[in-house]
Amino acid sequence: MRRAQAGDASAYARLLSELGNAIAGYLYHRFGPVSFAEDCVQECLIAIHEARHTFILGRPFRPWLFAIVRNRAIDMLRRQQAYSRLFSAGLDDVEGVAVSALESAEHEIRVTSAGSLFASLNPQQREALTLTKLLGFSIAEAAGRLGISQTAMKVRVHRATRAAAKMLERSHE
Amino acid sequence: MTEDREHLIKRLTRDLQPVRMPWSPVRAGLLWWISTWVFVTGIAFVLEPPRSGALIQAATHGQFLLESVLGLVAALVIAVFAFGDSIPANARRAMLQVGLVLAAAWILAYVIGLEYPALTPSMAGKRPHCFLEIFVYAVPVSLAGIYLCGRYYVLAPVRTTALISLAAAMVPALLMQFACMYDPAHILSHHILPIPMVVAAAIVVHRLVLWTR
Repeated sequence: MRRAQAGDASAYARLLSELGNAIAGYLYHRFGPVSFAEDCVQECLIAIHEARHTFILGRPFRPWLFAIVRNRAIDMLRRQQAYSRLFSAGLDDVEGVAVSALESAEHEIRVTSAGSLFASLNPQQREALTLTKLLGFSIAEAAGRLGISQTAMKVRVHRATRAAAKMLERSHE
Repeated sequence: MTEDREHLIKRLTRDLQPVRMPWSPVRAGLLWWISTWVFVTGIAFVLEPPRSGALIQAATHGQFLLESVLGLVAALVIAVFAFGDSIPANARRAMLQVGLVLAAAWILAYVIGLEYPALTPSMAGKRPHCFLEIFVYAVPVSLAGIYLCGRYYVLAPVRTTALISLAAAMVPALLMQFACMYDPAHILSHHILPIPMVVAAAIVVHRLVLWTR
């Protein structure tokens, strides 16, 4: 990082490529095989680039790095939620697809032992996040799938997102 | 590594320039806080002189001095935390907690003052527009503080905006302790009440600016 701050392009390229792999591993470990992982890695790399002047030499690098990664990941989760709501608003009947997709997504997360963050959520929160974040259903569709009101679904997703964010924060404090 | 990521890294490293290291956030926060005091005191005292004998009252009345020191330290701690928080993983949450507890104690001191005032409540030195003055003084210094924090890398912009505007509004509110009349009821309704209003306005403006980008 010192050399990158001094303007050494090759050292910086090496650093970014190593960090990219580390961030991808981190995201896989936390969230499991989510579709937005690569986008998130690239957003993190851009954020690291924009924030590189704030790294104070002599300070530990990991907390600085993961504060940025965590922030980008939470941001990405929120954006995914908004995007999936917008995108799937026009979809009609997805009920049949939902059952098998939900089961296979949850199964994959459990079997691969990845997604430790998802796994540590309670079943209701995990279900809410899996439906809205991994499978991309809108709040209305997810609520219909679970047989609960849209408000209750929103509350579940909100609580699950907050719980996930808190876990992310705690894991690096 | 994907092709996209490789391409991105190439783009980020092209024409890489050495970075200019910013000031330490603690130093920047301290300087902002001192400049805020100079700016607010300068304008406030040019417009109208302070209440006569206010400094002597601080030296002779312990409770009055305590009220002032609590607010002074709270604003300083909150300002320094907000600047420190502009660098990822730099600020300690405990510092924010200390600042907020001190701010709460500062307000509590005036609530207690309703029953046991530090000085005999009086209209002496009353400024006609003290409520408005706090808004007018807090806005430019809040903007300056938010701009300075933005030169680092703010991860929690709403929190930073809220804390900077809180610290910025506390300074003129505290100054009114010496510049305006002393009466805990007046202080709470005319000097303290504008603080949450400034913070709320700053957050709304900040959200609007982000939304329109």
